[in-house]
Amino acid sequence: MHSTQKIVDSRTEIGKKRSLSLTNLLEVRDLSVEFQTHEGIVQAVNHISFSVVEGETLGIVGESGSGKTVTMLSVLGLLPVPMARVSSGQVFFMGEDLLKLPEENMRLVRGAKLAMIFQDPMTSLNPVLPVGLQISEAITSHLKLTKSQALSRTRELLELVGIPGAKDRLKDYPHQFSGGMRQRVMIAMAVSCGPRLLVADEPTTALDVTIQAQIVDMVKRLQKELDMAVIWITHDLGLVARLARRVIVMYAGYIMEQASVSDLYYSPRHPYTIGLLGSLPRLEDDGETMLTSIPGQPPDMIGLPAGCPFLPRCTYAVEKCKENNPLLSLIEPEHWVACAEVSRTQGAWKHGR
Amino acid sequence: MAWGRFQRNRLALIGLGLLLLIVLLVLSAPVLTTYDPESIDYNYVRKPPNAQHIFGTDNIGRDIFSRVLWGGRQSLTVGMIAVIISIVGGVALGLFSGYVGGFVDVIIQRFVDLTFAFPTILLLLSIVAILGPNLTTVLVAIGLSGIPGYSRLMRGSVLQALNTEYVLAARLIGAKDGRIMVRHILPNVLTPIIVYGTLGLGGGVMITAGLSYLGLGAQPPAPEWGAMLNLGRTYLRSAPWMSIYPGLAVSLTVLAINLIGDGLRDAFDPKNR
Amino acid sequence: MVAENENQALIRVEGLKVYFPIIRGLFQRKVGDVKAVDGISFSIYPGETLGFVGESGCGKTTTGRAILRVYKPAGGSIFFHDQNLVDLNREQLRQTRRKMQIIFQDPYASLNQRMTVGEIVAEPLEIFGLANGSARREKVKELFDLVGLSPSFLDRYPHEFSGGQRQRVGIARALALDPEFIVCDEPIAALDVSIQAQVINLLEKLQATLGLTYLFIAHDLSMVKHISNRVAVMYLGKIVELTGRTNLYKNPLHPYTQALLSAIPIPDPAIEATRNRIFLEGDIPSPANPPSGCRFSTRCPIVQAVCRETEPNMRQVGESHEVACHFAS
Repeated sequence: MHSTQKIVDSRTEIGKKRSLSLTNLLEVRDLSVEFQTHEGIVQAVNHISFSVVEGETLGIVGESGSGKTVTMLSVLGLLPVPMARVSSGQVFFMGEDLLKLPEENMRLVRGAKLAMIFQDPMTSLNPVLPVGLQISEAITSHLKLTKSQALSRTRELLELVGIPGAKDRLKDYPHQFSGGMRQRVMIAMAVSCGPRLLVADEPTTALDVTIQAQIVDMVKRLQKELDMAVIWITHDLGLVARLARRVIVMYAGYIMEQASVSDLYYSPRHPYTIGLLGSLPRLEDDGETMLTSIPGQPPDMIGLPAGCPFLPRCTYAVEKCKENNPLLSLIEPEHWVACAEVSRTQGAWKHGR
Repeated sequence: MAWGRFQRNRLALIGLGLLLLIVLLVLSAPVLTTYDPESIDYNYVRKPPNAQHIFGTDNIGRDIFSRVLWGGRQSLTVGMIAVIISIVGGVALGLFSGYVGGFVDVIIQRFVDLTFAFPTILLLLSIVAILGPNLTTVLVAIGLSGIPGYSRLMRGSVLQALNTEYVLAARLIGAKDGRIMVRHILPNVLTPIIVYGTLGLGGGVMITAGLSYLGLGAQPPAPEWGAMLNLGRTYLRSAPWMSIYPGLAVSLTVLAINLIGDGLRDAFDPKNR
Repeated sequence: MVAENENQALIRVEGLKVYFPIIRGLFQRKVGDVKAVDGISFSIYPGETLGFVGESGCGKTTTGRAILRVYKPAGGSIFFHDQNLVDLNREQLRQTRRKMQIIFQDPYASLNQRMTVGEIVAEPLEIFGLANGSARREKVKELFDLVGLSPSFLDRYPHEFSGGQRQRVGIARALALDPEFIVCDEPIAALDVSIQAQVINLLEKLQATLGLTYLFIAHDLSMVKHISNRVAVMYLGKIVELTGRTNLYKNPLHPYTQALLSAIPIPDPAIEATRNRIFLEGDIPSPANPPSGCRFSTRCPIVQAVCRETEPNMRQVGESHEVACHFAS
């Protein structure tokens, strides 16, 4: 696995980073996105930076309002344009800044090299067209294949994603598939042109747990076979433990913690991460201990005051948290935390390995 | 919340302003007009608009300005009362039909279907034929003919509301049917009624004018807008002002009401939230 | 604290069946039934939390609502304090409902948007004439306090609150009539993770202070196990396993329970990397057309011929452990 080294100077804005990056497939730098609403401007994403290397799985965890979906929509150029605006930052994908790319070029990237799947498969699937046609259309528009070549590739894809009797299902319409199967069809469509990076936005949230396990397993298999990097967005910390190599935890548009999966689960350092992990019930527990809950409510994103947005709910909060916006700082190799009081959270998490 | 959205809609505000202006003018008729709307003066027959008669006079010397303003009272009142009859009747019927459901609902709905199958104009004409042509008849006719429409609207909203969890919750905390109907369903289904009621008001004004134009509503010498238009028909070439001003009055009133109605509908639309 | 003596069961369900007719065609004919719940029996003891877990179409939500007589069962009995709820008329049911309440999944849809939260919580009191005037307002404030909401919120409307707060309003309303039993119908599924723990802790605290009995319905087995004393696993309208929570985790006997446990994501990378996964093939069948014999036969990893012919009954396999499988032991 390649690794990146970043040095963050926390004294300036989000930092002058000297990156000695080696083949970063995706590199997001200082991205900020704001939304215009009737009641005011919402800072949906605040100066976030992260990267993904070839073939790795990154998990992005956050609750509603964390900005995780908006971040990925910006990467894919799918933000609702009149309301949303990228106010700063660059998104480098295979060397090109996607934010500067005109729409026609973006269309060539999207689908072919960079694909996205969503929670509701019906956002990608046209209910009035047979699925075989939809997938082969995607193939013929990006790859130069004849119609029959595209069709046979489509059948292969459906088999690859585990749809039984793929050959006979090419003519079926989306509504003739169950929820889990539809999700597989959407995944088949997304990977049809061999993208380098697949962004999955809560694709299994609406599925039953046994179906979810099937889909997750299938994606892991696909990832190996197609040598594809995956960004998996979810609120489910359990899923991320299974899938990802690295995890980003977002809150109110900021990255609060970024770490390898074992660092995050065994030695989390941000108070929010610690609180989140504590509020999960564990199957092994005897259930006599209460869950530790994070007090308070998720923040109102309109008119967010300066300072750390987690302040009202944080047990480690001090005066200076009111003034300074959280900046990511490196506390150990590959482990960044955006917290002024991070020195006090050492060893706070008791479920370490 | 919805009011704020309404305020942002410029057309709706124009409509509101216009309607308020019209209502104000109509209400101030006694103050603003110098001539009695029915007083005949053969010296000033078919005079074009001038300083004394700002809208001119009609074929028997009556002041058009005064007739438009006084006539407005009739058109607006009839339109309003008719719509109120429709709404009250429709809401009660729809609420009952939708809530009770079952066989009763089916019977009532088939009856409503029957009424819909009838062209409205025929329905109106039949009622007028039975009761005799005058403004009160028009009021009753428009009122009654509107009931099936509102009952359908109401019933649809009731059926929707019955499926909601808050109604189920109310039942489970022991609420009886009456309470559920009044406290839970009604407040939540009133918004479409308000919107269509407003638009219906415009329709009421227009149909009143229309029926009077056909001679089936206000009878002469009543200064109703539609009746004035009927009278002005014969003199369209020689004294067009006899038709222009009442015509404008009807159009502007209905336009204003429709703008308000559209604004309300957009303001209440949950998709705009 | 939990009495397992059969005679002291607060709620006893026997052979409960809830069917929904399938109506097709021009003449609105009934062509079949969705057998949402097809013959289940269990008891709930005072002070305990019985968890019901399962995936889509298993019938857990229908069961919870059927106990409250939201539906008229197609068969079976529901005994509350030895009184069969199926026999009650409307008024008797209304009175009995004072003792049995519900907390809904959707904190937005279950509150009337046009009433203030104070009015919502006061309504049960109003309906049954408990406390009038200022005493009523005081009682509402007490209830707010109990669920952790500030009394200053009384005159606000539901849309002014967050999901977690709205859920607390729903809980306060359920407590207003001082019930003995509450059906918690996926009460945290629509909430953010950081808020879920708050609500679960609140429910547990209330149970301890007020001596409540819960039927906790959810699809998240970890959460169900955490809050429940005993857990029932449902599949396609039947209970397949029913036992204490620790036993369920340590000794699951039904193949579906085992598969469910292995499918749950665990927030521990080391465990996730090394655990044994049981993958179920195919989709969950439709409750309108369940498989013949054992309902799980189409996906069961240990299916045999007899499974497709005969439906297994629930049998006792240990102390307080029932399973519906021909081969579980």
